[in-house]
Amino acid sequence: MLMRLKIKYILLIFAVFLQAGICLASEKEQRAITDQKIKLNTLMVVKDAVQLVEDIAYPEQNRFKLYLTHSSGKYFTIEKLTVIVDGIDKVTHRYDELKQNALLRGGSSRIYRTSVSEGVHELVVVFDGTDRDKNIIKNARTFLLDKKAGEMIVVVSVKDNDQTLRPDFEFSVIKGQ
Amino acid sequence: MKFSIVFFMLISLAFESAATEEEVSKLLLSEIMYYRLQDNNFDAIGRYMNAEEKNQLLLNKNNRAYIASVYLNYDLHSQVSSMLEYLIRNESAAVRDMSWYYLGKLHYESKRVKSAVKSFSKITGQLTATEQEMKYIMYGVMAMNDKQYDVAVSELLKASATSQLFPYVEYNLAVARFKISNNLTVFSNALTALALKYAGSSENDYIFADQIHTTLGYVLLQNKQYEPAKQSLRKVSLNAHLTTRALRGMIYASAELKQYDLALNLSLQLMKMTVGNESVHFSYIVIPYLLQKLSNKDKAVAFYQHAVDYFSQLRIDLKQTITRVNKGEFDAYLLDLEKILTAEEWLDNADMARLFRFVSTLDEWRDAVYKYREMKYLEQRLDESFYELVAIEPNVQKNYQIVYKESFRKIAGSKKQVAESIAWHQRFARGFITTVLDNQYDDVTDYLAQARFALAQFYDLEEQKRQTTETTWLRAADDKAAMKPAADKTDDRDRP
Repeated sequence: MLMRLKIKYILLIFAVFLQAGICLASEKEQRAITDQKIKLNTLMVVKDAVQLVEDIAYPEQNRFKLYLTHSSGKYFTIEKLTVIVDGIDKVTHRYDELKQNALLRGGSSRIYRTSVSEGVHELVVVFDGTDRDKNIIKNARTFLLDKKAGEMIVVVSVKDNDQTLRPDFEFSVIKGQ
Repeated sequence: MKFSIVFFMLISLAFESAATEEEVSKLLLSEIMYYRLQDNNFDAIGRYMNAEEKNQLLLNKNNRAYIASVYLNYDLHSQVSSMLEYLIRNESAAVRDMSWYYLGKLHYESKRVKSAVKSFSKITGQLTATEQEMKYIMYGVMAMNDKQYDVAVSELLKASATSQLFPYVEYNLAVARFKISNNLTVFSNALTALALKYAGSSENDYIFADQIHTTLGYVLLQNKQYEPAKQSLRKVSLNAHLTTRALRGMIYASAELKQYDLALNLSLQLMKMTVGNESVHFSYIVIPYLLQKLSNKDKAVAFYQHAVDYFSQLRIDLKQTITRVNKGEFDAYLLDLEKILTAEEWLDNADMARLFRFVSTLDEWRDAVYKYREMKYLEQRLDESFYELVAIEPNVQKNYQIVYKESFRKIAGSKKQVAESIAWHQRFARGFITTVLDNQYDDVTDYLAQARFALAQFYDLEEQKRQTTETTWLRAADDKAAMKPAADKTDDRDRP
């Protein structure tokens, strides 16, 4: 009788432990699911806020965006970039190895977003970097920005020129010509 | 004439607009890629969501698969499944299979075996050669996990010899076949041949060779073939992942072969190793045992006394550290893993610092830390959004007022959820460290008991001048848990 009771207790304790183990596992799983929901929700909230800021601070009529692309990187490795609009320094970006790599592998970086009035503006982009022998290179390009109504997107591309063995810096208007 | 000019102008405008849309889409996709390549999945997905909402993206099947992979990398599986469903509904069998394959692979890598099998089973065969290959290998390894060695062999045999992962396939095949046949000679020959075949000078080659020699060494030890076991284990690299395990095996083999000098030398080496505490504990017990075997009783007694002091102090330190962890003193580690590497600055003694470094190598801990940081990052992003909204307040016109206020409400709600999750992960991480330290405490208590027992036996024997030292000493220092190689360790295998 005593033995039976003992076995009963042991089984009960075992069942409690098993239950506790299952609870712990399911709690972790539940947390993983909740975290997914939280991440998604945060993404949506931040996206909405970004959108709102863009709509309010940079209305579409005056919106101007500047992107950077960098192909190959044989003759130039970008380290710093400065954007000057109408003679005023607006923004500076520094590129570490991770960013350089992301650019060279086909990524494009939005370097400047602003709200500008219609008309002609002078846009200067200053590039700081090194060549393949690690010599310091500083270069600047000017672009006359003829802003019309509506969003304008310009891309500045750094390309290799195999003939001059130097980098080429080119502006191209993607939207709002 | 007029009509044709207008028509021509409309057509050119339409073409121009389509070209612009395509260029903008390309640019936005490359921007998503820019963030993804920096492992910044949050911004990559954020940019995608933004562009998708404005219908700025012209996605083809490859782009969709790429976006799905970004979601997968960010552990948003529920979203991926809807993307996969889209691909499954709208794309060819090849794209559908590729989608199932990537989902299966993700499950496999996250050790969700059942889900992986379920995803793989939906593949109808439209995979590239490499993907097909990987599928066989994953199936094989999963079957080995389930101890279905016959299935594992048949799946692994399908892998091609030209595969980069073929060394691992051959290794797992050898282990699976040994599990079926238990033929030690065949297994030993197979692994020796494998080590020779793939001998190289890269780091991966060394890791692979170490795995082979350690597994073979321990299987030979279990079969009481001490000399060959020793020979196999001595080939394991120094200061590598498996060095301490190999050293312990060699000490055991040498002791069994009565080569106590060698065993003592190896034990002293093991004691100096800073990889994990367990090896150090083991050496504190085994060294005096070997000294006794070498008839150096005085030193043995001194060493046992030293071990007793060492383990006693360690228990006190562990208890104190557990209290400090529970008070949240080490939560800083959750945010900066690098701090663990310089733990001496944070902890009062080197043993605790070593223990924390050991904790930092555990997958479960890393996972907890990763999730905690992810939530902290979300919190930071929500704060940034909050301040960006505050900054534009003077520009907010009437038509935006409601949306503007709603945005703050959403941020506050989201922050609450994130804070809750941070607290959960913090609790989990603390609990995890405490469990590891508790286990260490139990281990140290066991070692302390052993050392005390051995010491007591020795004094007892000295007092009574008994001559039966041999058996008593063996009993005292026969640390079964430490000396005997674990019986279930032969199924060590590398996941490709």
